[in-house]
Amino acid sequence: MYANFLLGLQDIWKHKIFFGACIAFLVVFSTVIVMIAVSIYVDLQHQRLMEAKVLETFEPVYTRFDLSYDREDLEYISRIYAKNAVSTRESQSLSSSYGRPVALVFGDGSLINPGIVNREGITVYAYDTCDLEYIEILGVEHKIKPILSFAERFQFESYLSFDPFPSPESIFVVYQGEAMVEIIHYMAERNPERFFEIIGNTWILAEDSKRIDDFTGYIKNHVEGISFKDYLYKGNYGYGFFISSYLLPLVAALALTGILSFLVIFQGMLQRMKRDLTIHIQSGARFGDVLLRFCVFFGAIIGITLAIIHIIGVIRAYDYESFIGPVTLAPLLIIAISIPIYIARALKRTNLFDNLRGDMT
Amino acid sequence: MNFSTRQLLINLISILIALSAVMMLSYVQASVINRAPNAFPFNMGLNYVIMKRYPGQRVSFDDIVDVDEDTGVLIISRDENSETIGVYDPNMTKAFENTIPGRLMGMTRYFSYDDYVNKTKAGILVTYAPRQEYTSDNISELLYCTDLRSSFNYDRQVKEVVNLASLDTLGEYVYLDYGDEEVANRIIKRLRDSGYRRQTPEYVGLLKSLFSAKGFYDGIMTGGLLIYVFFGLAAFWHFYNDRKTISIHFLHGGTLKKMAGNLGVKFILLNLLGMIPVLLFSFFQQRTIFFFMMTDFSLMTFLAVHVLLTSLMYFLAFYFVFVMVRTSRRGDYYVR
Repeated sequence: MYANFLLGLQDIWKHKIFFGACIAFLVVFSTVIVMIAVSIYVDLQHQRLMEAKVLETFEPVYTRFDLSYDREDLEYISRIYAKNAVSTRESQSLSSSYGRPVALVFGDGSLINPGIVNREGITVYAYDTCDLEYIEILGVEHKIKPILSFAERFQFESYLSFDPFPSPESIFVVYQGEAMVEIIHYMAERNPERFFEIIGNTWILAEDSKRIDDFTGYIKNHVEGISFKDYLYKGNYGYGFFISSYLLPLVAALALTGILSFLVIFQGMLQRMKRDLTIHIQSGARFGDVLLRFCVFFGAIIGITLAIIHIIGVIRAYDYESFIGPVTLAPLLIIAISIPIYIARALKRTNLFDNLRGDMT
Repeated sequence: MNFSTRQLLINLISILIALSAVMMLSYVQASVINRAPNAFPFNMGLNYVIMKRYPGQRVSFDDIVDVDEDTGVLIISRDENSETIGVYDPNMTKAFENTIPGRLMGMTRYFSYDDYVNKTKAGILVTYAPRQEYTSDNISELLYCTDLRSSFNYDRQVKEVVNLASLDTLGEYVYLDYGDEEVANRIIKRLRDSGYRRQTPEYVGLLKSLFSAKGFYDGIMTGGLLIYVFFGLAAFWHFYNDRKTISIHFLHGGTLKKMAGNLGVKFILLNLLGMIPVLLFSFFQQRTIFFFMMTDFSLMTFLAVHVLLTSLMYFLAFYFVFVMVRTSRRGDYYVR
């Protein structure tokens, strides 16, 4: 076995150009496979992100300096806020009066906290940690319902990457229906900018796409002075096309080049080694010993390729946490398995004893 | 003319190598071109198109854009190196980028539909310090100021960003980015009809890009051209496998010149024919893949070099095997 191992090393030296070319080829091939795997991975991650979108937020763009408010617009938007849509604004006056953040919530407050019931009128909520019983708003005293769980505070925190109501002292004054229209009208009549702030701060559940289209369509086409920032490229990086039109044809062309060249080259190598192999077999070498000699040669190619692709960073340790690593190694594994099988078949089909008559080597 | 399976096989390898090499080269070239500082003007996306005006043409905004229909695009127009650029951005993709001192309701605003329709002389000032009272020939209403890092100022030469509709004529260059391909094609057609022609980004030739290749993937793809060594090896072993036939021809008076001539004609003929599918595939990629920027001339030159290189390697491989046969003293065994 040791002798066969040494013979395998000798073969490497004899066919050093082929040996080196094979390694270079496999490194390039593995890189293209990594590019495919990475492109598919990024595409899938992006798709997952898009699917995981739970809340639609908007980036307002003002198109007028002098903003004017129209109650008709408010009434239309109040119908959108009836369900799955909400907007908030911190009340400066109430916050400073009570020394704690007081948020005005317009619309479906259940988006802010699952404990808020979406119902008509004015309801004041607070976390269960709140010590205040009543709050006075525009001369009317409202009872505070300290029923919201602070542990279950803003449900979209992980999505938005921040909690807009981080204080356990926060108070939520929730307006819905006619009460909402009246309070926004009250504020907007004195300062139209309030109305635009509320519009710009709207959140709508992503699953309710009809409501989102309705809202954006109305704002863009009917409300003077405000629009929303849009993007030309919407969630399509085009990797699918890059893979199918470029990377896969390249892999196919490279793989076919490799296979066909290997067939031609190996056929010649085997012919050249025929006498050598026959003498070994005649002197008592088993079939397995001859095969081992080739396995050393091709095993070294695969081994060195693996080492190079790791050393130069074609694949890194973290690639094994996703499918990128395994997908890259799979073709090398297939090559490592199929070459000994091919060689074994080629050797079995070759009548080595026919070749002891002293052919040209 | 008879072609053996072996002959066809070696030609097939040549075709596959040409295909692989074209694709790898196109990657390296695109990478070098896209790395140039001006590769993506105004931070536009992959779809962007540059159109240049033929001298003497005058085209107005209304000739090219229908503000009621043409949305889903971003059009920026300028004269060469001019400090003023005209913008049509109905989707507001560039709104309030790098605004200084910040976006303030009632103090800042962006181009609106009305601006495009009424051709208002509204504009944005690119400046290192905000100047709220700024006016000029092009800007009578300042929308806001933006700092020098704004993508409008990607080449550090832009000072004023104005409403494209307010300009008398479009500039020498029109940059178009789009999400809506149908609208974009419509605008490109109108521009073509009005005397603009499509421009490729600053082109870097194939050979130059090979020497300018930087970075990991560029390096690997350039190194991938070592695939030609495979062809040399395959050609050598191809003749080696055929050495008995070569011996017989040699022993019957075949000379290097004659035999190489006979084999060479077949190989070159098949190699040239094989370049047709490579050419067709490359044309397909040229039209479908955004980063396939090779010009037809570069492509043809490369294919010619490929044919020359593979033919040379083929002859060299034949020469080595022929010399091996000629110097062998046991050649007569084959004719026993």
